[in-house]
Amino acid sequence: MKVICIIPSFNEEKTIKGVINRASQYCDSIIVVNDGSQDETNREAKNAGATVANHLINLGTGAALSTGLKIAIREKADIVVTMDGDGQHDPNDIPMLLRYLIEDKVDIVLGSRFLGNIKSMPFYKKIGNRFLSIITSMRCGKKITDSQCGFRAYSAKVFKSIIHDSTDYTWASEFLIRVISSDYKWIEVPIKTIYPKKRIKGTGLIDGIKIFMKMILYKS
Amino acid sequence: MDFIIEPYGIVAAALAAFFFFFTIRQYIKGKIRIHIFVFWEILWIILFLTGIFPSIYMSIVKYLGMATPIHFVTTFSIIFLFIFIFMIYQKINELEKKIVEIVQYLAISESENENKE
Repeated sequence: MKVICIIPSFNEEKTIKGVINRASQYCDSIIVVNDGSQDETNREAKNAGATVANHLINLGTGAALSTGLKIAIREKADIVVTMDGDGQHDPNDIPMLLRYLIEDKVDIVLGSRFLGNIKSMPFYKKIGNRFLSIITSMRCGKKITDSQCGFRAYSAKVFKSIIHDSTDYTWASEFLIRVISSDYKWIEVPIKTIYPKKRIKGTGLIDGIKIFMKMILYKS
Repeated sequence: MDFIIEPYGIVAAALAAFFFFFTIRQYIKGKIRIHIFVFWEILWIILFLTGIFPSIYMSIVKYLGMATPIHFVTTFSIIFLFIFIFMIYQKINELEKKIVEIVQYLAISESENENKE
């Protein structure tokens, strides 16, 4: 069973090597989608042994992930794991995601920061993520505790049949709506999250408003 | 025909005349396509005529129940601008999609070539 890990990255030269080295213990290959980084992310990822796809300009996390998924389809992956390149997700959680995917025979395993320990998550992020998860849950008709988490594992039939259109952070919610409306089996599992004190990236206020609007207006 | 020109009519006519020739220059330089050129030239001509001959639209102003010609000009300018912004927004959306497709295509092709090497 071929497991490919996709890591969308934008200016992650300091963390990408460590993430690749740790993730490669559990995956057959690593695809880093360098989303128009201005630093040495490309070189660091290549040195760490990952397959790197370079976006000439920054398109957004959603676009980087769909590029990675297209490459994973070409590479004939059976399972795809997606995670962030900034070290927020712990690669040691990958075996757990894979176990749920294989043993529980679900089609998609969603990592949830809110089912785990969220002490290190900044307060405004807790509020924002909770709010977006509630909106996404209402839109999907199923309870989802963390709609914005990018740490997920997908079976081949999911990522071959569903590729999101969103290029920015709205991809996470759009993908969930598509998965749930397609009757795929899914499960949420607790994951560890590490928020570095100095450098916090991710969904901001504008992204939150965009996701909110998308959830209201999106037609599945 | 009424030849009494109001101050804003002179400004409108002058701007229309300036952009009429500016648009011709842009077309000669090959910077705009024929249908865009024709569209804008018609618009500048209409603006020029309404500036010089306000009586052209006075009857429309009265028919629509507007107090002054300036109401007519501003109302229709805003409506036109909204339509135009919508069209530009649509065009930008299309271009964004194409840019995403091109950038993704190049990234995927490059990684495929590196794999072969």
